[in-house]
Amino acid sequence: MSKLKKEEAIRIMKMRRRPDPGKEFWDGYWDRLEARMEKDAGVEAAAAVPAPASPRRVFNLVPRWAYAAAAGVMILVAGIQIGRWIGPGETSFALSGARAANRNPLPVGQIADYFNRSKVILLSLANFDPRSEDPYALNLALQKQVSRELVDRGRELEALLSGARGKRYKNLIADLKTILVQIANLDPEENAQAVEIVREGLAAKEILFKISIALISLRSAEEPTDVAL
Amino acid sequence: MNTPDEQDLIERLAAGDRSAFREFVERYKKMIYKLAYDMTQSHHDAEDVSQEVFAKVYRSFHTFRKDARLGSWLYRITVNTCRDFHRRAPRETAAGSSVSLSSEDPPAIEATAWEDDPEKAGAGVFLQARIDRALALVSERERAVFILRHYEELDLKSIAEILQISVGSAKIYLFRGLRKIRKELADFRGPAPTEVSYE
Repeated sequence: MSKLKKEEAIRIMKMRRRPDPGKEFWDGYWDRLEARMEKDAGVEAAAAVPAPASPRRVFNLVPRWAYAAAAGVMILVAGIQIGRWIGPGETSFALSGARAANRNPLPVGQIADYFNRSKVILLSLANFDPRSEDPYALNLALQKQVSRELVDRGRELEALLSGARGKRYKNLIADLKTILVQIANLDPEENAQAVEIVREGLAAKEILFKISIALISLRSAEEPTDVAL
Repeated sequence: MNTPDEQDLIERLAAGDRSAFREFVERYKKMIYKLAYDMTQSHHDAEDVSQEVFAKVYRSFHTFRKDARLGSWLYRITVNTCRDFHRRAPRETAAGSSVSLSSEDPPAIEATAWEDDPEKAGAGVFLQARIDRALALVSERERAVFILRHYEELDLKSIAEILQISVGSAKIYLFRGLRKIRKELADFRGPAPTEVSYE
């Protein structure tokens, strides 16, 4: 495909015609412009921030070297504070982690065991499909018994928990107990319906997800932090 | 240089004379609308852009150097406003450009030489569509240079001043734009120059 000559292309392009918006358009142009400018002025006035209060003007008066000096001093002070916080002789996070653990001892193993046992019960119900499985395969009697035991165990654990971390586990145990009580009280004649109610409760409170998170957290608390810096 | 009329208007505008601003709008509204229409290819966008240009002029006339050329300053504001307009509300056309023809726009063909001949009228519509498409295919900067050079009949030095680029760059943009346009119109043979003329 050969290109047009330059002059020919320009000649064609110059045949372009613009539409005439008409007399009415031009006659009303000023009024529309004036209305628009008044509207814009109103918006700008509403959005205007009082200039004297602007801190930018004050900062503009301060020389740049002053900012650099201030930043240097702040870094120095922050370094001293961090040094004090770590303390003399303690050069690893392992030590500070152990110190924190000693302040708030948690029955980590017991909590993890409790969550694991609860998880087994809950998973068996969550994965149970009443339409396709034999309800008797669920062995509901055993699960009701274990749930009762877990409710009691949960009460004991709650008494042992304190502090911010303890409170987090305590809340989860309280939610779990609510579900476990429901399981413990399931009517053997209405298995399918009862299981559905429990499953809805599980989903609403995202219990299984919370248990998984709690178990990960507990596992990391159990592992020794021996990575010295 | 500005004409004595323009210089008088500049003085009055600088003094904050409201009636001078209205006079200014009446004098330049068609010029700015025309350029905005060429850049946006949309009547509604052209009106929007032209009003925005006047609002900018009103707000920032104190920044205008009295020894500068008023026309160049207005062209620059218009081109920049078109650019900002496209960035704010980019719209895609079949050609992939950010300009478009709105279906609500007035017809691009005036009832002139073709109105008595349906065949010629059809060819005219087709021609306008091809020209618009060719303009839409070039980049924003290439389009601005082409329009200022061939529609506004400005020399390259003035175009470079308006777009705040070097004359060499303006030449390159013009060359590139024209190359794309020639390629787009390669298979097109328009009517003879005597049949239609560009206003």
